Amino acid sequence: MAKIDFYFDFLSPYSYLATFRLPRLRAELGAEIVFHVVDLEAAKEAIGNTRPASHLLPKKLRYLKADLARWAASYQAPLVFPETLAHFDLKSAARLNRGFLCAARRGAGEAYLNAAFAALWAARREPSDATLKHAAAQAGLDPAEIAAAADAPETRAEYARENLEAQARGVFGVPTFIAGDQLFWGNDRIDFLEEYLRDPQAAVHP
Amino acid sequence: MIMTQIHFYFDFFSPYSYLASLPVGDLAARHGATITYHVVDNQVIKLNAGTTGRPNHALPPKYRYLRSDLARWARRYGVPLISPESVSHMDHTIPPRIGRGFLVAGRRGNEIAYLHDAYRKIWGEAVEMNEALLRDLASSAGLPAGDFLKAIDSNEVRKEAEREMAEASERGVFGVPSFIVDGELFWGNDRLEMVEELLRDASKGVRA
Repeated sequence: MAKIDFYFDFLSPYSYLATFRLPRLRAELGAEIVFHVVDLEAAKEAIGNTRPASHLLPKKLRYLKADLARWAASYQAPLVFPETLAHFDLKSAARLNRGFLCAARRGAGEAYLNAAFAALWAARREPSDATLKHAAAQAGLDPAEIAAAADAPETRAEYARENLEAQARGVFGVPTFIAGDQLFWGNDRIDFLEEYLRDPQAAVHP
Repeated sequence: MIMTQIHFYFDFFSPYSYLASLPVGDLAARHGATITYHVVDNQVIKLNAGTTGRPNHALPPKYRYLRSDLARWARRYGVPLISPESVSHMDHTIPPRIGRGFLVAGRRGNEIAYLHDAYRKIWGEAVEMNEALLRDLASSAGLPAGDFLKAIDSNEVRKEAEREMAEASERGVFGVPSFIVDGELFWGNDRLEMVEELLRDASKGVRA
């Protein structure tokens, strides 16, 4: 069975969009999806990418909103761009990411992932303790227990390890998909990923 | 009937612009649209938008990926494309001059021939971007090499190039290739499908 390593950050709207298409690939191609939560800013920093995030540059922000709306329409995905994005609390965002690791350990990773993504990108929620607990509850988990586990040293260590492993595999942004020895970056590259999964001859080694 | 216009923003130094330049003509023809070409210097356009930081070729993991990505697009389009490595360290004063050559070619109605000739040589055939290439491109522009070189470095053409770039930034362009159709901006050769969708809807009268 083909395996897709999917790297995401809850702060990434294109990662959110990817979650609307990946399950379809899984169903159609019988592929397995392995979810990896990473810190996008850390991945950029690790390769020396100091470019400001798109949402901090007015021209790019305007385009970002239009582009996301087009993709959301094409996927029929609900999407409400958070006007407070530039002021999101990054510590809470990292904690929301770590909450995924705790949920995954309890067998509810995907449910938590869907709830956390929807909270940020469709329901005008900011990353916060309340949002983490909301996602945990939506995933059928004990919100207080997940909140505590997200702060545990072993969870922090696991998150740090996941980030380093991703960077070692060449992940420099999200969403990223790795299948076999092929890496694909961006929701808009799921086409190429699908092409490769259907025909491994489509691999490139430039 | 008013023909829909596709404003296409490109830079000869951008491999994704090269890729976009290949299907965009047929795409426009399929929908009875016309293309207005705008040559810009991507570095200037990016800086105008506030995009600071190192270029992609100074970010090894990202650069490695871009090589794969470009290879995938070249295969999809069935076109030749050299590795961007071969041009990343060349003389950066040449591409803006090749860009101004496009403006000079346009005055003689030769801009399309010039564009495809330059792109094919640079990204398809790995011809080095230097003075010799500029002289070689003069024939596509329809001028003797000497006149061509004089024209591209003239103040008048430099001003025109600056004006194009200022206008592009004003219209929201922050990178190339970009397309503006009906006031809507699209960035990347990978958005040509969305451009086509918009043109299809426009011809059906879906949009006001």
